[in-house]
Amino acid sequence: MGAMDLVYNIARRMERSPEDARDLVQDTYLSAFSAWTKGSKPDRVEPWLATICLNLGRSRYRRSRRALREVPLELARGAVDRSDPESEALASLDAAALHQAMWTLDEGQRIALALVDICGLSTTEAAQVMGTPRGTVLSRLHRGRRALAHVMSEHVDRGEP
Amino acid sequence: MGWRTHDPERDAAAYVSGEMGQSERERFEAHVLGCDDCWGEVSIGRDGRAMAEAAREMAPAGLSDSIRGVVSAGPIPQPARRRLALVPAAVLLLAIVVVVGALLGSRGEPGPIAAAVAAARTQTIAARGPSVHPAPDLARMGLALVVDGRVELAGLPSDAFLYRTSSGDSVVLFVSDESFPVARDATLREMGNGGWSARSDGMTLVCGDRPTNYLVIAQDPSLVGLVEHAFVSGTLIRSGRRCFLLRPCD
Ligand SMILES: [Zn+2]
Repeated sequence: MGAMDLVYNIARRMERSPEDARDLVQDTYLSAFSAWTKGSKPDRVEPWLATICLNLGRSRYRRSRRALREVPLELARGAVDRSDPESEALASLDAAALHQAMWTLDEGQRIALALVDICGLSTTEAAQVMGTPRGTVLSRLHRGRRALAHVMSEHVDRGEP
Repeated sequence: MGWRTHDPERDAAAYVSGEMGQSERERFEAHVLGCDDCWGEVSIGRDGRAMAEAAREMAPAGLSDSIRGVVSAGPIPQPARRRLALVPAAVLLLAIVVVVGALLGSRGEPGPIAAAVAAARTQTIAARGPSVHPAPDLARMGLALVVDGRVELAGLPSDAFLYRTSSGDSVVLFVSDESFPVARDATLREMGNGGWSARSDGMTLVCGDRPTNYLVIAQDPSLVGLVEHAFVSGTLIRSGRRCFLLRPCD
């Protein structure tokens, strides 16, 4: 996965709309560029960009919460078209449904999944990026995986006649 | 040998993530066969991981270009501006491109190498000022100098010379007073000049440190070899006077 795909995948777990995710990627690169020109030289670019993206995303998240602009959690569920029950099991596994299911997880779990399962960082790298002990990352990772599997199986169950 | 006190969540997370060493993994697998808790957590952890992996997306097409555009519109180091005004519009590119190129660049390459490869791939010389070394004249080899300038490759100062053949293939020669880092997966060459060659991001790279530090990058390996040969043999002949191949020495 290229560095920009990696940042985009993290941004998609920090921002609900694709437009905001794009903005966050852009801000991440602007910030990274600024740090780079001031002499910040990371050993590995990926965890470094992930950290910048996470920090920026969190500050934007807090800002948008203050402004009460948050999308209600319910919107993250059940957005798949149910008009064709036969194809629903398949549809429920498509990327859009999965993306929405990830928004039902708490933030720490969602970010852990993004960093490790989607972006391929090790749990040690994810711990550095998130600023938490590795044990915490392992717990969040597992709980997030378990919750995602539950949400998706409920999603399929709801479509059955 | 038995398993230590089990911690189903963390053990399952590490196991499913493929982060256990072989002996740890074997002992854990033996334990899981007889432990319903761990069996259940591993099983659902696998399902969840597969679903998370399936949510992976590619960055939208054009995002990279739009970021380059925004970054380029920002403040630019002053020395670059005057120099850039002299460069044809088609190749007028900003110092920032090299840095962004490095940030977008190949996984695991040292910064200067990633930046150099990005510059060669995009055929962009991000001039911050005029080149310090004279441009080698490779016209007799069918190579026209398109643009040259002083660049910073992730902090490493270098001259960059972009040439193009009549068929449109391009090659970039970097010349620096500092040594270039060795590319990942490079093959060291027995040329007695500290040389190495490598492939990165679809490009061929050769590097050496005599008569001065140089790095040649192009898609076509034969073009790389040609330019290196010209540069090394040309400069060796006249190394005492620090001028380059086929360039009149006066
Ligand atoms: Zn157990």
